[in-house]
Amino acid sequence: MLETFGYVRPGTLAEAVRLLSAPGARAHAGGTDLVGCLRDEVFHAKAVVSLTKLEELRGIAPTADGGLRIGALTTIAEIAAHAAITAKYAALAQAASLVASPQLRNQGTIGGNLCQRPRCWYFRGDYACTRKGGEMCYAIGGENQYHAIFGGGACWIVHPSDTAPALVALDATLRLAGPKGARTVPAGKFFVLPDDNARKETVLEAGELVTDVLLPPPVAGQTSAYRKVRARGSWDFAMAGLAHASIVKAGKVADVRLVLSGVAPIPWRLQAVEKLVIGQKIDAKLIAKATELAVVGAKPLEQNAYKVPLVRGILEEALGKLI
Amino acid sequence: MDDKQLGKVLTVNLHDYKVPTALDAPADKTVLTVDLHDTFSSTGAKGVGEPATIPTAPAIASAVFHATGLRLTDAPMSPARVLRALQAQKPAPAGQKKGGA
Repeated sequence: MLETFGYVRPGTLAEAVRLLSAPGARAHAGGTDLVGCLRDEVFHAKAVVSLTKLEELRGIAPTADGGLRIGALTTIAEIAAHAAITAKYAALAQAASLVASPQLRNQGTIGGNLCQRPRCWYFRGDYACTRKGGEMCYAIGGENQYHAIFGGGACWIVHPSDTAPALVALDATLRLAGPKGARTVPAGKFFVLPDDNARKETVLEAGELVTDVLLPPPVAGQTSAYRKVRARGSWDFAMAGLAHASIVKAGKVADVRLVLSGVAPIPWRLQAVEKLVIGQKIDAKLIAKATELAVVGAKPLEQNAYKVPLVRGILEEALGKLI
Repeated sequence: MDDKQLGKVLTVNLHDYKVPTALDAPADKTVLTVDLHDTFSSTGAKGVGEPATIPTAPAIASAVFHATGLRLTDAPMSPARVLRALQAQKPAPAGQKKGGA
């Protein structure tokens, strides 16, 4: 049963921020995650603040510096189909096209995709886990086949977003608005590890919301892609995925950003691997070294050790395509 | 799937209870219908729904055997389970052919 809640639909961003700052207020954009969370009693809402009237948060437009600005209310389907995104920011278009199902892509927004709550069945179920203020992570010693192999600790969720790793790989910036004003945060610094705070997935403070995603100007020679591995062909979260943005010049890697999905509580950047391959010519030997380095520090739980060779495999595949 | 610590059902929605969909079926499959008069029913008709579910898991198990040489007896034969079985497998004696009939 859904509990009763108030519903407001402010006409300005300032009013939305004011309403969202009240205790128990929850933002509503596409509602695809909000309704599920309320139904499953993952959290409660005193007031649902709908953002759907805020036209200024909708749409995709070029920025003065030559990049792109995507309003937080832009749907995942629009991003997947947008000509400039598919042409210049392929990883984001591919990630968007692999999110959930067509219905959810038409309804869900990019802001919501970044701020969705994790899918851990203990978190979503009737368990007082650490993320809900309880004292233990039930995935440790429980059913943990879809849980994290990196960055665990107080909690072993994986971040469910496909677009987030693509945005980190593309070096996007997020613009936030809140009671203390607007600020920008690099996509790579937006997500929070459980050992820093196990109760929230992002740096968003009370009353704050994502207003825009800013993509930097396309970099000459850069290619990007997102690979998602899932248990079934439709409507599924990643068991593991890899977003990359790379520049290869004269056979050598001039720059690369490698970001995993589905294996850690945040989009998991492979900085050690990036360092290893930058300046190098990609060959079988380098790929072997890279795939070994990628899983150093992995701590699989009882049922998710398959993610270790999976990560190595998708990295091997991605690097192989850069040759 | 139940939680082994508290016994509560964990797969309460279709995110977690992963029923395969049309996208999981091979794109290039051929369907052959065989017209056969059923002498055991009054109309000569035969049900075609449930009978198809009976050989499905064994057919998949045989495909896994053909590809890997491993006999898996638990469904679903997920990639993770196949990988685990492969890793647990002792090296086959020299000369032994894997899979196939």
